[in-house]
Amino acid sequence: MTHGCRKIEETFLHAYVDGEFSPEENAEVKAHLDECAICAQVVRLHRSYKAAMLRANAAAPHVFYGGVRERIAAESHGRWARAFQRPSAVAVAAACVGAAAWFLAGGLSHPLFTARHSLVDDGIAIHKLALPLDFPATDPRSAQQWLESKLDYGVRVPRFAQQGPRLQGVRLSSVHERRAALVTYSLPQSDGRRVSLLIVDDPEQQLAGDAHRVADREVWLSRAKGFNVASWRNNEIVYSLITDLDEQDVLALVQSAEMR
Amino acid sequence: MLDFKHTERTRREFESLSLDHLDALYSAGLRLTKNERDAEDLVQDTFLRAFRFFDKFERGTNMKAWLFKILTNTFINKYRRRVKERTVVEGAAREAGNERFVTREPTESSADPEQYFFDKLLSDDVIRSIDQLPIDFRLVVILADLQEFSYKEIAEILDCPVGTVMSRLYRGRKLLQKNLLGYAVESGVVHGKQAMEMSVEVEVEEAEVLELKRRA
Repeated sequence: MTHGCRKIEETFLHAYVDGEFSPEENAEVKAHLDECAICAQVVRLHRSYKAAMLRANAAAPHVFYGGVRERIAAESHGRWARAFQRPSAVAVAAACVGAAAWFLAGGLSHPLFTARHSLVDDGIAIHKLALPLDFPATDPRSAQQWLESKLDYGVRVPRFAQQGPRLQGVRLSSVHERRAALVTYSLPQSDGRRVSLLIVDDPEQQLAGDAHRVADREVWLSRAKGFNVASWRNNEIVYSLITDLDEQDVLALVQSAEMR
Repeated sequence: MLDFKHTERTRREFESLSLDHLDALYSAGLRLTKNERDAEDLVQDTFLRAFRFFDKFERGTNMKAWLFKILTNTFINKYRRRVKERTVVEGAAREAGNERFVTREPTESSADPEQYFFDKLLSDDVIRSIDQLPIDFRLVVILADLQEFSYKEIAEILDCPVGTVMSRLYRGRKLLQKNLLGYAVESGVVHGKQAMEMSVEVEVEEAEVLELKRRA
């Protein structure tokens, strides 16, 4: 570790540049630097190295700020829902009667006890972000193959009728620490409006919304922040279609989705 | 009782304290994961975790260091393996990646070219050199030289003694500078002869580096 000066070690000089010393210590080092060209050189070199490192910092994409805030807002929402789990948070008498009824009606798996809005909220947040696609594709089969190579569960990328949504591509995402896929379509009929399909393997999640029966599928429809979200399961995997179309159009889309 | 206002207030307080550090966390996340998507996921996760544990944060203490502790823990526990797996698959694709750098022209060259070799380096070369470091070195170099944390703060973030921080930082920097020198010669910023003279200065304890690489 020698750099040619016997009085001061190189690490010591680095620590000096790194701002680790007290003003008194700094003064001592400075006095030495005035008379030692070798150490002065080490200090100059280290300063210039540090400046080069700082220049290599990157800034977050602007849209990312919005995404982070959305997620925190969604989490904040979920926290309120979870507060119901704390007995102290619920009025005592009502809780006793209510809890008995709830348990009979499905106990802890009752929608009120689960963070049931989170999948919908997360889906909407991700949809609004419109992040770049990882794999642009117009053919559902190639998109599906690409996804299957990235995820540890099987997925179906739905096909739609000719006038229906047009596949744009897919992006990997994550929801509640689970790997998820986001499939993006555009609607030629509605000025190229975007439709997102969030696919996540979430065996526990109770789907949110009102139940509908569409083409032999149990579909849950819910509305938030100006979006309609239709969710259903296919081989246990949850598919959530997120759009700003109205209820009837969303259900029509789900009906025309072919899952092969 | 349930209190919407309280929840709302907590969220606003959290945002006002944390969002200022988003760029820093993203920049560090990018050098840890080496790709934008994982960096975004990692930072999203960090913010969610931080928000969940916000009641554990001691008000008035160092928010940036607290967030970075969560970032590094999240990375070590969750992303490291995934990133490693993906690096194998997508290594080639990443090379052509389009990361958003805060690029700046290398600063004016000085009278003594050898002395101010770092001034002339391109940010891309610096980034490549950081990315090549084994993870233990990369962590301390990112925290010290990109984020300017003090040795003590780094020791707290990584939960290790200050002495360990110092020795990893010293060796990490030397190794990085060696990588940089290679790139600088490649791109003609420094001539081969100068590099030979300088490489004496940036000698690294190879055996130790190999050992760390093996463990990583």
